[in-house]
Amino acid sequence: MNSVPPFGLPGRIFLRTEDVRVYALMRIGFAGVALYNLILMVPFRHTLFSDAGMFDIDTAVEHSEMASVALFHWFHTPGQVTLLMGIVALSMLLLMAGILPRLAACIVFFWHLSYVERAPVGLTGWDMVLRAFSFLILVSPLGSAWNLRAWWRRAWPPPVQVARYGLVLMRLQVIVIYLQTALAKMFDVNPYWRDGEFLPYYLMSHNARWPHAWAAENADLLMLGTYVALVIECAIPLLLCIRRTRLWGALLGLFFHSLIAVVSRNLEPFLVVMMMSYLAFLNGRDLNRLHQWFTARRPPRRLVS
Amino acid sequence: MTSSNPAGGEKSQEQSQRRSALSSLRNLLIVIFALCHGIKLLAAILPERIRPDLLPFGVAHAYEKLTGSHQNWGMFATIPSHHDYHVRIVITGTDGRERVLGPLLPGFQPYPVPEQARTYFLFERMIGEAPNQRLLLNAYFRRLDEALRAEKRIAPGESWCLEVQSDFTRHLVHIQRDGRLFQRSIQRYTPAPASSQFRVAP
Repeated sequence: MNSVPPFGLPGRIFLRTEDVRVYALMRIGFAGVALYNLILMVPFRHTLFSDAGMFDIDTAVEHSEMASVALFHWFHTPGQVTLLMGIVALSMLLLMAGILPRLAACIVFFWHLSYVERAPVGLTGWDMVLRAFSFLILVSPLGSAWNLRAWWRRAWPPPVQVARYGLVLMRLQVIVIYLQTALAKMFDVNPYWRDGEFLPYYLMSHNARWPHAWAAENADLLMLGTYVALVIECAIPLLLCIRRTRLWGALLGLFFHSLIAVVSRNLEPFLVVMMMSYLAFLNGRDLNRLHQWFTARRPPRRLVS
Repeated sequence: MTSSNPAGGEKSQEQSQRRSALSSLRNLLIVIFALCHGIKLLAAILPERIRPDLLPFGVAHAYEKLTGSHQNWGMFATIPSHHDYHVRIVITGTDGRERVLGPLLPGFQPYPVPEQARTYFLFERMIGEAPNQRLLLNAYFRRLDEALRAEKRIAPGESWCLEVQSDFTRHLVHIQRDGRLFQRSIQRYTPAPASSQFRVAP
């Protein structure tokens, strides 16, 4: 790749190079989180995805105009759905290990596309984030860095530089998730966010871990919390965009999503998925720094005579 | 490595030119794809009513469906109105006695307690008002009816319905006044005879 990429400004944005290890980290992180989500779905597999469940494949096809791509055309009985999830889990492990990564990424992408079409009402927000990232992983350079084969041989190839378009699109995706959500809250027809009443209602809802009337009694204090949450949601993408404030953006995001996971029931996967998406904001220098930080803390090996 | 053979040198130069042309074409395709996808992502930040139509609807819709890139993010943009939610199937015998079953197929598994996000969304969206979701509710009712009869859970002359218990969080002012958190509402949905449509029982 040339040092000055062709095609003007778009070329400079998308073809400027980045350390291939960042893509490898993204690949490993995504595959790990997708596998975690798949495992969480195992108890619901027949209910949501099989013909013995809530609705048959024909209804799903009728509901979604493009369900022709659904893997569930071929895997629709309970046994076949279990087999499909086994194949997908194996593909996620292969993607994580960097073995046949493009084929594995393709299967993982079609899995996400298919189950979203098959059970559209049983989806959560993190399913949609994973679906968007599965496509971006598929079209990104997957590289040869950090794979099981190299680890087995203890022969790490030197990190090469590859076009950064995949990482740029992933970063844009994260920004869109936050900003669209924040704007939806600010301009929703219901005034709960604008009036600062969201948090008391949330903390008394079925989503709350400890729903109690104290939230109504402390509505004035929680009004402040509602506005702070909105400010944080706007601030995270902006802080992540600027290199100097990126770490603060990531820490703020970690704090924000951890707080949501603590006060809510069943929303822990959202924390994990969003933290995975932050990996796209790293660069080669960050990885070198992290490597130095870890090696400095590793105890020196003893020489045995 | 250099070749002393002039024919070999020409061949390698030709190969190198072809490689360079292919690399340029690849880069061009990457830039076009990334630019289109990136613009589509950024445009999604704008509210829907002022969002520019960059592509004809059919093309944009097909691209979104095939790439899974539809952008509709609004986690908790509206308040969760339920304090608690529970779903079950109620079978009324010929003597008027009622017995209950879980609503999850296969096997009439109970609605999970503590609640699971997926099962809550499943019923809440299916029973919701959006007309295109009624397709799924009607299909679910057909599946329920088939399963009840196939597994002999229902005898001739007995009827069944889906009972949804919604505990709606009351207004803040009202909770502050008496400390009572929710207002209970129980809706029963029955499959209409000789039709695939469901109806709310009186």
